Amino acid sequence: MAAAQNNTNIKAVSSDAAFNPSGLSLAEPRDYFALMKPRVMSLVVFTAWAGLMLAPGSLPLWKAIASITCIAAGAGASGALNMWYDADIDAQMSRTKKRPLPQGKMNPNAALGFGIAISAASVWMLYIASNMVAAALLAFTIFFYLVIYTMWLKRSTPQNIVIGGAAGAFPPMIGYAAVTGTITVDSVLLFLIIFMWTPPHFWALALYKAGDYGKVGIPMMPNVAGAKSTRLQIFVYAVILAVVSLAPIHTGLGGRVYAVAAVLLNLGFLALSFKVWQSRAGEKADAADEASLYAVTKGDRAARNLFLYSILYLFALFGVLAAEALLGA
Amino acid sequence: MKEYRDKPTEFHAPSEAEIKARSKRNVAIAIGLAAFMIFVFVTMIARGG
Repeated sequence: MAAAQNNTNIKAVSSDAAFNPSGLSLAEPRDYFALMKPRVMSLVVFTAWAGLMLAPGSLPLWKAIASITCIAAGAGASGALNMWYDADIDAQMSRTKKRPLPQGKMNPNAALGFGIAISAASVWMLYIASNMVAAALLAFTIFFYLVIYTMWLKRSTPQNIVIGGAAGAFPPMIGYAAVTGTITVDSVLLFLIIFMWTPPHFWALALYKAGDYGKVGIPMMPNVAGAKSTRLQIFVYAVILAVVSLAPIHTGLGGRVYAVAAVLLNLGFLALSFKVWQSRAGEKADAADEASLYAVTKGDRAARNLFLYSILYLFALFGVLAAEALLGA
Repeated sequence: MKEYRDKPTEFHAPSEAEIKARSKRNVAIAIGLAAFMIFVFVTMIARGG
């Protein structure tokens, strides 16, 4: 009985946490914007634009702008729904504790309503602006990110970001489908590049933030399989990524400029991944042993360098691919 | 006929920060709805054409 009452009290406190006695919240428009994960959204906008540029045929300018706006809004809405569901763990991680919900600026129901409304509007408007295939892909992406990744995989398996990475890989495919209304080998290749890029990108981050994820019980690869296994898997995925990213040359999606850029970018990615593999990134240093402390810090720095480089890599790869198609057309 | 209404018993005047945040939200909602309305009109008209 006492326990039940206690639970009720906790629930009442948590649902009212974002409200002051007057009943008004302190959430400003910028908090709602933060809810949409603007940095992720910028990558989505860019890859969707690349997909749109690479598709055979073209869209009128206003349709292209409308389609990218809808894809960005859909991605933002799924980000908001992710933050609504993950508010409990976000509050305990240094990387996420400054988000609007953990800070208590916003009522969770407001975030949920915002996410649902923007999701519905973005899918419907994409259907009107482009076609059914693109709209269906966007709806599936939002469903995949919220239900498959956030609610199911994230807290249950170290393969969470491997499978969940599909959600982030769909935008160029949606952009491509907005023009053609179909899914082709080329659009699947664009999907595969981001799909194979996601594990090394996130695991590099997880290596030097392993403590954060472990604290909240998220089974990221370094916490489950260990740092050594994760470093090896990062390198394996980097090799697969190199092969997949060269495939557009064979299908004709990428030309000579892309071939040169892809080889150089992949050499950089492989070199940094190799450095991480050979390092002691993600391990626990023996505080008494200065050499061990130095090696782990150096390894973590290598993981951080790979994480930052991976962002540049994706922007550059898609940028060159799209620019070549744009200038060649 | 006399009307009976409950007076607020626990009224808390909103603070300056709360009023400011609400005003900003209202402006953002108005701009968002206006943009959405224009978006729908343009899309519908262009699609119809």
